[in-house]
Amino acid sequence: MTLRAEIGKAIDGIAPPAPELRGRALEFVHAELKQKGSGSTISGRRRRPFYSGLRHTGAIAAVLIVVLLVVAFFIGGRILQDWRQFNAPKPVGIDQAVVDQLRARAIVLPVLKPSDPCPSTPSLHSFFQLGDGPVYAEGGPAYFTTWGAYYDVSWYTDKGLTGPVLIRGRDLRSDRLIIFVGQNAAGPIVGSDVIKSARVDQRSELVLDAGHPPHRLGSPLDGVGYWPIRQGVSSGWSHCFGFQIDGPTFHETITGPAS
Amino acid sequence: MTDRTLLTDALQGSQRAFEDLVGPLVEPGYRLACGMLHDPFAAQDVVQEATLKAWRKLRQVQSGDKVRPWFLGIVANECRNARRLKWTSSVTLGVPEVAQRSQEDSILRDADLRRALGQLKHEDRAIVVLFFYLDLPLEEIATVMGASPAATRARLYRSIHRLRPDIEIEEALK
Repeated sequence: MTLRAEIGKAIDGIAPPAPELRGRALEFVHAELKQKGSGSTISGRRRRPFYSGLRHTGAIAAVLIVVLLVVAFFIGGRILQDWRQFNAPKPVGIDQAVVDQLRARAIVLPVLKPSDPCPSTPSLHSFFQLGDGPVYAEGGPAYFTTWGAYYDVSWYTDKGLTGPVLIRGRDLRSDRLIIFVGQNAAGPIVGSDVIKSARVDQRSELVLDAGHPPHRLGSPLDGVGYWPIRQGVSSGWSHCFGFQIDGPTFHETITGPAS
Repeated sequence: MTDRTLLTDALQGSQRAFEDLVGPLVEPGYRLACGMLHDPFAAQDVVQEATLKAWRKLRQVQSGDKVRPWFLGIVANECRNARRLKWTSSVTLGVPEVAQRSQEDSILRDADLRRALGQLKHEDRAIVVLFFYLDLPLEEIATVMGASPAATRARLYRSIHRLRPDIEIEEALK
């Protein structure tokens, strides 16, 4: 086999067809233009502010609004936080009583000093980068915001695994939370951020309904559940991660250095 | 309608012309991003961002016939931004009973090659993917990378040597 064919085969293996991408990408452009009201002109030409005569009045009003918002934030923030926690989404089909039992398990991840070496748990599985089962993980690309870094990590669950799986993560040298965003994020909201123009809630836990993964792998790992998850950690973390993974019948820990 | 005409219309604000101009490049952009990031979800995000940037920066295109390398250059840059940071530095391989099966061997070989690709520098990886996976000529790859054809060729040869130290360059270029 030629190198060209080898490279083609290797990349094809992780590049499923995306026929809808063209439409989605162009729609993304349209939506952005609509949202910004930039009409049909290409960037580089800014419209003159229509309400330029009201600029000073507008600025004063904006300052007042900001002041009011800051006050409201301090007064109402706590109430809102409690309300959000009360209304935290509970993954459909998951037995919350079991999740609560898993949540009650103490976190036993090591807490390290800044100078301590980062312990790395070996993967005993031939295909996955992290974890020795029944849950595995693989690193993914990073995105950066002013808050910190987000990683699109692939989580995997063994084919026969059922029931809820609770995943909690920490930076082992600073004990700061590794947060989760998106559909499977669970637990209390611990913050929010803007990723690619979209506001997201940061949650402290990840809950997977192992019997119902969003995707399943094909041969030779037939049936292994695949969960694309976005998770993040605030700037300045030590790049030494730890995840405690709890299921009704197992407990697993994954630790290691992020390079 | 030629690319030059489409470009002129798009610069005047025609979204339809932009779609006709850049739309066909989304798929090659996605393939490039997959080759760079080895993650189809991240690749789709990258191409989406690149398409938006292409619209914003359309004035940078000098002429219609340079739209493809220009767009792929944006995708390559976006891939650099979406840096692939591993949570660990290695993948454990080599469980004997698994490795004996030919189908799984093949998968492991693919994974090895992807890992070797991932260890190349960003620019070198882009050149390899554009040359071997997207079948672009060296001159166009040089335009994508903003480098001379000679420098691009040198980087390609060096990358081939790193990927497959045991094969001749001529053989690898087939």
